[in-house]
Amino acid sequence: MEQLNLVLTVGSDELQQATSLHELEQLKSRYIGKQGQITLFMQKLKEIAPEERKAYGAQVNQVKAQFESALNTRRDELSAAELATKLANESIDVSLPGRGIARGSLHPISLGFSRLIAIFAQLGFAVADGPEIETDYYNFKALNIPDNHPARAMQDTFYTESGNVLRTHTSPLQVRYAENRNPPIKVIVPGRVYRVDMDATHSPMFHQMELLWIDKGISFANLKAVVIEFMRKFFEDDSLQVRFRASFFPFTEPSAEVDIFFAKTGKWLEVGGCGMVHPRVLSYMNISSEEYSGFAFGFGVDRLTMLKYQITDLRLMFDNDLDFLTQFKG
Amino acid sequence: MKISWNHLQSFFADKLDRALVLERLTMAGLEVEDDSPVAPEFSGIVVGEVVECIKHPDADKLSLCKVNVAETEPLQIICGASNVAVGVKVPCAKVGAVLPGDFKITERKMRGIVSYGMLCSGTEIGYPSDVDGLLLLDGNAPVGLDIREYLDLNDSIVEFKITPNRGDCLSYRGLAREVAALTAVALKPQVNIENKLNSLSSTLKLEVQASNECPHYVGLAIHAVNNQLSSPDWLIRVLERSGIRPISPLVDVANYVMLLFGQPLHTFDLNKVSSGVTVRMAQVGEELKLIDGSTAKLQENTLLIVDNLNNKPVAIAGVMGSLDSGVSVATTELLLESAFFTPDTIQGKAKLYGVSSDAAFRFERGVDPEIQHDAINLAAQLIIDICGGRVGEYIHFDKETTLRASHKISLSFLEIERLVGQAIPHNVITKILSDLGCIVSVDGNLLEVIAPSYRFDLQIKQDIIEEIIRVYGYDRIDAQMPVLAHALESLDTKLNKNVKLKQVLSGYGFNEIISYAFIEEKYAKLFSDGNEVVRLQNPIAGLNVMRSNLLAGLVKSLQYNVNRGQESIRLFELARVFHGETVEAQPLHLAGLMYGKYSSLNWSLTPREIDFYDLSQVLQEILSSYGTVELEAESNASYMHPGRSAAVLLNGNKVGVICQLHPSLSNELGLDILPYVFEVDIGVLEEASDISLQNISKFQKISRDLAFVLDKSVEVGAILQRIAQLKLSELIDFNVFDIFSGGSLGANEKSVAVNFVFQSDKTLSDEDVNPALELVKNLVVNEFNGNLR
Repeated sequence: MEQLNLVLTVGSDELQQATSLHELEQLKSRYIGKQGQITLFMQKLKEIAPEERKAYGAQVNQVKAQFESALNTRRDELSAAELATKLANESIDVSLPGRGIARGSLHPISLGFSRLIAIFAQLGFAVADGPEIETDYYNFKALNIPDNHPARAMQDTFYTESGNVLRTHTSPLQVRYAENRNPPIKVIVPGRVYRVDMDATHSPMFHQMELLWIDKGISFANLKAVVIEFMRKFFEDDSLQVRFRASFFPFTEPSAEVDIFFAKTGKWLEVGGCGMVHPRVLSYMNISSEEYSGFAFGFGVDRLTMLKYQITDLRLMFDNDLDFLTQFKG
Repeated sequence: MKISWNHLQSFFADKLDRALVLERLTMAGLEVEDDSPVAPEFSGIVVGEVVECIKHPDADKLSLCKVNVAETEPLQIICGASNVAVGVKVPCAKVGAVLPGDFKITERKMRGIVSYGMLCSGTEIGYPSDVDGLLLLDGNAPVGLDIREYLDLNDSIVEFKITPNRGDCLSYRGLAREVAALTAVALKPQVNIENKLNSLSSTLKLEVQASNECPHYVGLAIHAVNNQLSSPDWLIRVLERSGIRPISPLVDVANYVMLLFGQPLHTFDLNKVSSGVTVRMAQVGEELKLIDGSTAKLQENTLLIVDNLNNKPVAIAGVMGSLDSGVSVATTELLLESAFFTPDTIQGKAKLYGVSSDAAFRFERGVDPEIQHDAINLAAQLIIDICGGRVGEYIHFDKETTLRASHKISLSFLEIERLVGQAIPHNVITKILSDLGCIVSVDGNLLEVIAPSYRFDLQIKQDIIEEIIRVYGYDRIDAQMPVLAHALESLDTKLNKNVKLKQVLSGYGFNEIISYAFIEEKYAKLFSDGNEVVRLQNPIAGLNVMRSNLLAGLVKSLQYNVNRGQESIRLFELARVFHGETVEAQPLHLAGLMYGKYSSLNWSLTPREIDFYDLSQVLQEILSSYGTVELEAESNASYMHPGRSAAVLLNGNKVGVICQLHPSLSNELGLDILPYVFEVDIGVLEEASDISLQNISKFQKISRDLAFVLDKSVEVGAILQRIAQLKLSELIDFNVFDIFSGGSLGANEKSVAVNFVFQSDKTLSDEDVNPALELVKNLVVNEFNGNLR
């Protein structure tokens, strides 16, 4: 029996020293295979005296079980180690950049327009769009700006060879949109406009948004609220100071310029013009000024966008430099 | 409109709070654009009189002076100016004076002799003059008086942006009235102007034929004036600080009265209109020689002042006189004109004849129709005060008009409250209107307002309401959100479409650009697409053509970025193009451009150039929301590579093009490789009806490949299109997975391998799909002359 225990001791040692599953399987065969050293003890059973056989058998079985248990434990250990090695070999540098193409970008003006439209959508405004080559009628006459009136000099106009104009503002859409509709009218008009002006702070093509709200009982106090609220939401600053300065636009009366205060510079900055729609303009819309009133608000989108994204040079907006554009992921 | 602040102040007895006044004016619609002191800061400089002047004993170029500054003893001052002399009066900086730039004057020894101050040039005190050396002051300048006071240097020039409706504020008096109404500081009572119109002329004739255009006309002869004198300092100062160049006393006085009252005056040489004048519209063929020497061909809509003697025009009324009828320094006899021409008559005329004048600027905006007599009387008085002479006979025409009294504006307090959105106390309203010079009568809830003659801009109720809240203060109207009780707007799919297209393209690595809608003739030619071309009358920077497609902008941006070293470029723009000037001829287009490397340098990508198929895939994907897309070889513009261009068909209709630019543009554009571009009209894209889900089968898909040998000229797209048209019920997808030529194939052959995927609501067997494959085979063999490999 001591021999049996010796075999177990040696076998267990060998299991511990085995370094691969293959080696382990060889040991299994050597100890508990058909001709295995422990198996041989069992084969000697018939040589044992009958009265001792039961105890002998039990002892051999126990040793075999102990060996198998050690074998299994070691097998698990080696499997885990082998898997670990395999995984270690498979590991990659996950920090390397991926492969493929970078996503593109949306022009900051588009991002600006999206913000504006999202804000006004909450107030239930429809969105309208119209031609950029405009007739004198819609760009001027229907907005109460007669021929040769000095107010025309407020906007340097591009003329086509046939005498139409490149719209100088988005306001032509006021009459275009409203002339065939009945109040309530609530519409915003985002778009491109043109003026003969080109220097460091003026582009001959720029962007505006027009806001028109006509209904019964619409007042100057309403105009103020909508403009203030909008400016605050656009700049995400609920304490932004907005002021209204009396001014003149032929298509509104009373009229106001809108300034916002920039704490950074300590200065007021003009951002748009607004007012109560002029009765003559209402009549061009076929709307009775006795029954309805309304306000209009127009503002430069380029400037608001530049302020929002801290763009200080207007020229960057139309150079289309990829180093600029790619900073504006949509 | 530029003004001298001190001159404005002179209309008030009480001192104005300058900052407050300027703020109130700005908020009330008279925006202050600029406010600059007339002189820099300095102190301690007085009027000094040189009473002794000898050469410095030890310096050739220095003079040793004694200067009387009204102190007990004259000051000993050393001076280096060449124009110093006994008897001159000059600015004298005493010890303790601080010159501009914080330069302090102290006792200073110069070559052994102490100088107790400094004599100053105009430049040194910010008062430039034409004379080199010391600023020589007038002989009667009071010795010892602070020079800032003497030269009125504690003044500033304020520039207002006057909106076109406020012609009444293009004058000192108009602005002063506005200040009084806004700040409740009283105006000084107006000084009586002596009437000079005493003797109606018997020799001079006035005939006003165009009385609608010229309701008021006054002319006054003045004799024996001396226009060779110079205008007094105060007059020159006011003019200069108001932005008007002094010329001669007669012209200066006319300009001064215009600045004061807003009434433009004209001065004729009396000898050129010795029989008087006629006011009439121009006749065909008439001409007028302008002050700049050019000749204006007069149009019939132009109002003229015509010399009675020879019936020749001497002035375009309210705009400009002729070269030879005006006054010169030699003039001794003149005819002064003060008239009211209606704004309609004058508007556009200065521009028409390519001139500009202060008179036209004012008449276009309107002048006070009741001020012509005051203006001419004041001007006559000043002329006689300055140039001597005597008043002669006058001529006048006044159309009977009840213009003002008939123009009553009626409105109710309720209307005011409704438009403003807030009640303003009735007494506040009536006070504001009275302060503005209106005659107000109240009857219960009703108001009747008669505006003063100078506020011709007040015509309708809304004008009156603006006046009320402008003076009351826009900031005192409480903001109030309108009640939102409207139906919801329907979803705007059109706008959503634009946003979606942009977002999808940016997802494919494209960067949105915005480029000018006008392009150079050169680019218009390069990218000509056969559409009508719209040109501008008055382009800037040579950008004279409205683009008919978006290619020029994309290509220019490409060039810009290539020059900046970018190697992988993807751009797009969504904008209107112009195929005419009607609304319909200005469709919205979307165009994209791909150029250079497929990707930026990457550790695991083999660099490659992009090609047609990189772009066509993007195009297919962005259009797939709107229907079935097909590309059909087509090259119909010179900018297109003839072998690499196609029409883009959506549901069978052409919506755009895709191509590589023609290699011949390489030199012209400075590009070694030419980009691939597409452009589609997105106005015609309509969202396919709502997505409706197709049944998803749980059964296995089966996949079969077929390879054909075809002639190289066969368009694979056409085959795919025909296969699609077979509408094989269980065929759910098919893709070209291999194309090659060469090897064992003939020189004009290519092999095309297509993979077919079938699926149904049962497990499919070969027997189920073979008939479909058979149909495909037959189609390729019969219609495209192909062979199964």
